[in-house]
Amino acid sequence: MTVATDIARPRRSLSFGAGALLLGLCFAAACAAPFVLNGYGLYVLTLTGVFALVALGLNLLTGYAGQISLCHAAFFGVGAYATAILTQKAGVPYLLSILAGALFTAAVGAIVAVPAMRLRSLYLAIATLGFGVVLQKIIFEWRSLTNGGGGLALSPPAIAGYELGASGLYFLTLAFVMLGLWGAWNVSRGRTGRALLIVKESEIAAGALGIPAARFKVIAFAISAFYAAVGGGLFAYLVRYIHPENFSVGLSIAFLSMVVIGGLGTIGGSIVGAAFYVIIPELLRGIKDAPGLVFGLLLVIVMVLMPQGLWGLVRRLGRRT
Amino acid sequence: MIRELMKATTRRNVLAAVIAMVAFPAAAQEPIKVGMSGPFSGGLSLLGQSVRDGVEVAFGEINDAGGVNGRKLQFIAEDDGYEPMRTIASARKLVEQDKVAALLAVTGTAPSAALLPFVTESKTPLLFPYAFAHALTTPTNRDVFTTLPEVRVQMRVLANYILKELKQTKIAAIYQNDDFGQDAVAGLEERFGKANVPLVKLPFDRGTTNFSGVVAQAKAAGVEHVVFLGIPKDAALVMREANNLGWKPQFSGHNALGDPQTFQLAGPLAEGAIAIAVMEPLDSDKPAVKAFLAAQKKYKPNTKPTTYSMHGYQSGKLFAEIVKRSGGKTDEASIVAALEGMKNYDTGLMAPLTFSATQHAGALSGAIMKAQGGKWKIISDWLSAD
Repeated sequence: MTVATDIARPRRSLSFGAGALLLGLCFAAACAAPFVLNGYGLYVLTLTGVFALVALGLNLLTGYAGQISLCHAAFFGVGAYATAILTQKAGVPYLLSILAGALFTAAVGAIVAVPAMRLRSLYLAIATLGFGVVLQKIIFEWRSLTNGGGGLALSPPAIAGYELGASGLYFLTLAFVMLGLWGAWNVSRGRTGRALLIVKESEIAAGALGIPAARFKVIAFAISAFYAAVGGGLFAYLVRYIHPENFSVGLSIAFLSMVVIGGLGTIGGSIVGAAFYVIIPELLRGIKDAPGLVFGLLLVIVMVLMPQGLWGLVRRLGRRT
Repeated sequence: MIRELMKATTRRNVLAAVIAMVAFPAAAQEPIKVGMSGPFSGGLSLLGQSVRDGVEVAFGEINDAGGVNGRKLQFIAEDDGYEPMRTIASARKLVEQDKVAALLAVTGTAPSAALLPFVTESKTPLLFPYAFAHALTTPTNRDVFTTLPEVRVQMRVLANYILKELKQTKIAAIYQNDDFGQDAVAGLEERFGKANVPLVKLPFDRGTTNFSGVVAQAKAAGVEHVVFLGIPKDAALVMREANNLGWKPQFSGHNALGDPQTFQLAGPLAEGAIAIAVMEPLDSDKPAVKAFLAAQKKYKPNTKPTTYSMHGYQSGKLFAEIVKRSGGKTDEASIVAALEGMKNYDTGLMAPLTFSATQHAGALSGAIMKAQGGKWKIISDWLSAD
């Protein structure tokens, strides 16, 4: 099989049955995890889930619609702060706060998309970079609400009076990841997903087909920000101490790397990418002084040997069996 | 025949081991595990590695002298890249997987603050972080103990000195407009307010390089003393700007100003400036400092002693002292009790430390340092903030 056909027919590589089996196995393993792992392992796994949600959203924007965003850490932060403030200061129930925070952040995302309607590639990246810095600065300066550089310490999360422990939060995250997967799958297979793919290829072609590129870009930004904010709402209560400096450009670049390492434009890739990004550095802890170096080299190796990302590899293996 | 001989030797070895275990129970005891998390990679890696080196030097010294109560100290340091979410992962790994008795010298203000919920719920002592956060000890957290005085305390010491020794009353604060700067100004105002001395407050944004506005304002206000609260690089810029205007006020600042770096950046303009010392300077003549420098040269010859490694070294020594005081017990209650019973303990590297059930910030004092001949010299005793 040539490379050309490989790219043209990526979707047929895993049969539906094999895909469902894989998903089922992963889900079963994920459900069993809290009974096997200690608190440390569970924390790392929950963090993976949180980042996977953000990556799923960013993948819709970058993988499907071809728009680069360097402000996803800020969306993540707005979601985290909105959820934290709603629950701690306004006494809104946790789940409702996550939803409200995510809707608010989606609106912010739609506003970011306004310059995105005119900009592309590097220019868009720089504009979103600026927006991320502005959002971070607002969180920092709005001390009365966010406590600025003092950070915000949170008490344990509760749902309907029942305090969520580490396992509870893990299962909540898992539920959101499943919802997120389902949502991303639906968007990507539906009219919006097809429109986004055409916008990515050529906005002129999209216009000729009667697809309003600007509108779909706004939609992509809003959905993507929604995902990031849900992740943020979970993150806030996972670490229970949020600080404006958590949400810097470095994290935005990390999110982008997750999507690219996992495989641009693939839903499974977002999950695998997030797992790679969170779990590999933990496994490299044993190497004294050099974990950063080894991790950096691994990134290069993955990109050179697997241009379609880790998910591309999973697929190729799946096809061979 | 040979087999018989081997059997005999093994049996004898086993016997010897058993005798050793009975006769010297200490040698067979498990080591005491202590954990640390800090930035060993990324932009602040120098800070994290320095603190870690210091602890390793102290533990090396203690173990060579037979350990504490016959038990060796084992140090496990984890990298977090100064990212609080990774600090939590480090801490959880150390406590739940490695079963450390305490977290020692965790490096970074935000990373340490992020550990508060975890250490409180897991009942893990968080000892002597390299951090200056108000929230670590106010209100008192059962499991958190600090040695470094937070910036608010430092400013109260400085304000006392300005009022009592320098007898100056026209004072301005040029400060970084963030959490740190505002915290510091709150400390100054607390003391100056009591003496009814007004404070001219001139904030600047972190990252700015143009200080002409704030310096001109301070000069116009007829100020004789400028408290600068920011990084040494910006302090140098402010000193240059004042010099350009032909204006020579007395400059002062918190512990970051009292760094050799200030001379590299500001040159002779730094002369005469005063800063708060939270620990002894590296070129001090105190025997404890000399001993620390010699120990680092012996146990980590390839590393350079810094004030960070001095903090790590002192933390390591303090931990051994606590274990000694608790009679070798390393459970949370014993460690907390031993620390809360520590009164006026002098490490020789900083102000004497006193902890109590209600006060977990060990040092509420600092000393005054003055820039003289391209060096920082301590010119006062350890002064209390109140």
